[in-house]
Amino acid sequence: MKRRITFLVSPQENEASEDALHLTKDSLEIRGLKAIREDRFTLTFEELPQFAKDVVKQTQELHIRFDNGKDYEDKWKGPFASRLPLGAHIFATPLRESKMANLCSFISKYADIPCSSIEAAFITRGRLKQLYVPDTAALSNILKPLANKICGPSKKVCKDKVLALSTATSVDLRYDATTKSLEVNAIWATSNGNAKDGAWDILVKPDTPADKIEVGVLTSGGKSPEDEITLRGKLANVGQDNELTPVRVSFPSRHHSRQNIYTADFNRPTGLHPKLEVTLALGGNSPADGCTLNAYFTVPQPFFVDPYQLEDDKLMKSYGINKVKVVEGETDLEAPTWAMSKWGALVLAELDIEQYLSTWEKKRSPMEFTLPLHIRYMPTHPEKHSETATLPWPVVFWACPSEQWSKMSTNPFDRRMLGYEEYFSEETYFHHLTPKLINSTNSISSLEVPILNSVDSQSIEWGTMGVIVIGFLWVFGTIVASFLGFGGKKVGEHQKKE
Amino acid sequence: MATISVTTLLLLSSLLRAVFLLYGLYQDATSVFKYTDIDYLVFTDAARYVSTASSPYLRATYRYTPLLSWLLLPTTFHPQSLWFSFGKVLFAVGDILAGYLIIQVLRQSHGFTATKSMKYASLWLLNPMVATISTRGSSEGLLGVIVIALLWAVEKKRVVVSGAILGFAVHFKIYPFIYAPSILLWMEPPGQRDIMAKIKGFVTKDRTVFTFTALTTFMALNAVMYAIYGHPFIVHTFLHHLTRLDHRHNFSPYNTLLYLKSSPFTPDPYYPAIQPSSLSIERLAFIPQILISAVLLPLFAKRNLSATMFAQTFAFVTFNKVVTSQYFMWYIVLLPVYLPYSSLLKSPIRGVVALVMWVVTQGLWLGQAYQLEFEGGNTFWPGLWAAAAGFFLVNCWILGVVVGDIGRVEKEEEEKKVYK
Repeated sequence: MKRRITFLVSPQENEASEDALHLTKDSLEIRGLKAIREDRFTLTFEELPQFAKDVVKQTQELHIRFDNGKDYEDKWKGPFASRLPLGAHIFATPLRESKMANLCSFISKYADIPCSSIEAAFITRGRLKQLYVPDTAALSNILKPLANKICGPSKKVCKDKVLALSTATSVDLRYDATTKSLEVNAIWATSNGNAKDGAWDILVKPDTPADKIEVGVLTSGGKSPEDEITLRGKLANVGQDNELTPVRVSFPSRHHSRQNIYTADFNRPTGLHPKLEVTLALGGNSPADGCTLNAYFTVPQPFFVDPYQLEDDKLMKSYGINKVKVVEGETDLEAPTWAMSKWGALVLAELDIEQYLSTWEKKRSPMEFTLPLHIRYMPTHPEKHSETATLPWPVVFWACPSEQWSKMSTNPFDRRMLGYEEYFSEETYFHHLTPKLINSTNSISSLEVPILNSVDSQSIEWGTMGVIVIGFLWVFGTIVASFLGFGGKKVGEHQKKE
Repeated sequence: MATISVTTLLLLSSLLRAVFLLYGLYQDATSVFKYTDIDYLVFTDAARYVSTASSPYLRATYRYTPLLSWLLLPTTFHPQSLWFSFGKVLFAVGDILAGYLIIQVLRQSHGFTATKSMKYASLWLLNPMVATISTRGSSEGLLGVIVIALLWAVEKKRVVVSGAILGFAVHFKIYPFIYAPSILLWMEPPGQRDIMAKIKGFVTKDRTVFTFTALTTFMALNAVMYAIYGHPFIVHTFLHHLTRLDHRHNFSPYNTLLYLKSSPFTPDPYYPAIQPSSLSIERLAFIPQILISAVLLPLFAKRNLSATMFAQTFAFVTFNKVVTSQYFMWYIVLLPVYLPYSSLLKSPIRGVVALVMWVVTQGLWLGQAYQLEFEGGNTFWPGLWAAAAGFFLVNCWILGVVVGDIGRVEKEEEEKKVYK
């Protein structure tokens, strides 16, 4: 197992002083370091536990991602700019014609995500299958049983290491059948370390002499060409090096961050046709000519979008959307949630930036756009009158096609297969806006869906039956009466009028 | 009213629809609140699939005969700004044709004066609700003309034509099958006074021809459509309507119950023994509906076919498991051929009470539904349920009045028919 730990120190913070890092022959001690941290573990197929082998051997490519939707703070994020709607995202391409049944039973057993089959639970995008769960607890749910499984119930140190991942802002698992390796990436992006003052206090030490741990403490290397990121700092291979090596690296980056913030909420009252309104502090400029501003939504049950409504360009323009480019997944317009087996649908919308920029000079107001949604009926409940439905905020980004494209293979932090970049050409740079949480702890909005309270189920049944019987008997009675001629009193009068 | 000609009335009603149609185009062009009915987009999308030699059932929620999408093929022609509205024009023309046939039925078969016939036909022709529905692009008006044409053909004793129209109507929308028993009973030869004579002489040439043409037309259309579009045609045109469990709120009194029974049931922790009853009355809903609309009411057909068909339709819609306001069009088209015999007109107070109660209970329901749909209020129980139940009971009362009216015209109608 290879391990790499990167600390990204914001340029605003004090640079890591000499006594923050203490390298010895077999360990590196870090004290009071305020930084974003990324841990990367690389395991070969042979190093994987058996259950993981069973899962990955059916897949060509597998990505399992978690994002906790917490605030990133207004810090410099360097190469860690890309985000996803909060929750768990699974992308899988089968190896040959595999049904990936092991993946399905793995997630239903360990993550408690209902999965009768990949076909039933995942949405299909060509060969790629995608599943989304809008729940930040998905990560800790899966880690607890997994820690037991990997470490055995008694090994607390090992289990703590696995469970530590649950505090990460994002965790990516990636398996690739061509390299036959599993890569686990965890990012603690809020720079909240394990010390009380929010700094990192850790001792990095290989478990066995064979394990390699590469540690880097990096910060912005100053100005770099556009689309590139330059980092400088110190590197060490713990257990091998005697000294920290100073480095300065530049590499092209697919993802960049922008300071512009956005927030989202439902317009109220919500009813069964809610609209998510997103407000962007855009400031009237774009990163470059030819860039489009996009929003990527994951729309889980009980929400759904009406693809025919989203096709109505004029309506969407009035909602600040230039064009809805992609709607994929479950878009049945009538069925209730209990008749649905898939998680929902994804929507990629290109925002109407032209319209906004043309009025920016005059108005100087933030940009707004709206996604019209609908809600399925939800199951009845004896103790509740409503269910909470949560919708993660979209990720909002500029997509800038570039002719001067450099291979991303030189980027040690590259991240791909996020769910939206496949809809753009390979030579596209992404500049991500930053969600700003105001009254919430997660980038999610929720509303209450009215449901039928079934405590009165007896009254509903008998009441309906009673009403039908009364109505029926009344009509039946008049039919019988008329047929037997009881109603013929006014015949004479009727004839007169004729 | 008294002096205008039929042509003038038809021109007036065409003008009314033209104005509505143009206003609709204006509203669609300027507002995000569309005048055009959402179903019209379904039909025209389906027509677009047909124009590329694909199946109309590729369009989600297209649950109609392919004939409808064929009829609307011109909506795919260019320039779109002109041809897209073709279907609305077609539906509006259907409306006017239905109105014209109403006048013909009242004049020729019922012996009313032109003026009186036009007065009643105006209820349909100059009805802004009817004009709105067809110019918004809802196909229910087209069904109106089919049903009136059926009544016209039957009363004109055009047996083959009536059979063909009925077969076509049932293929188009299942419910007109309820008219079959009425028409068959109405075709009774004169002079069959007692029940034994009626039974013995039941099989007549007219009845045989009518049944044969109706079945042949219906099955031939189905066979052709099945040959072209296969299983999806059967699923969407027929099976969907028989198996749907419409759990979303609508005017039907069964609605809340359908939601309760189709949802997974969570037992109440305080009364865990209480389960929804295994007797699913919602599955038996067709019994009172069919018994009244297709079995009992046809027994009155001999007395007054047009009023009976109105009563049947009214009963079918009232007792249906799903009721939306478009279904009201099904019986509104028959209103002008029933009202001349109605005590609701002869006793204005009764008529006004019926109309007011029909409108008010519907309004109450709409208020509850609005709160649920747009304000997130939980009105499922008892509000929405009670409003639907109230509307149902009002409809049953009106149906009772209608049945009483048909009962009263017995003697004169019987005699008229005998001496014709």
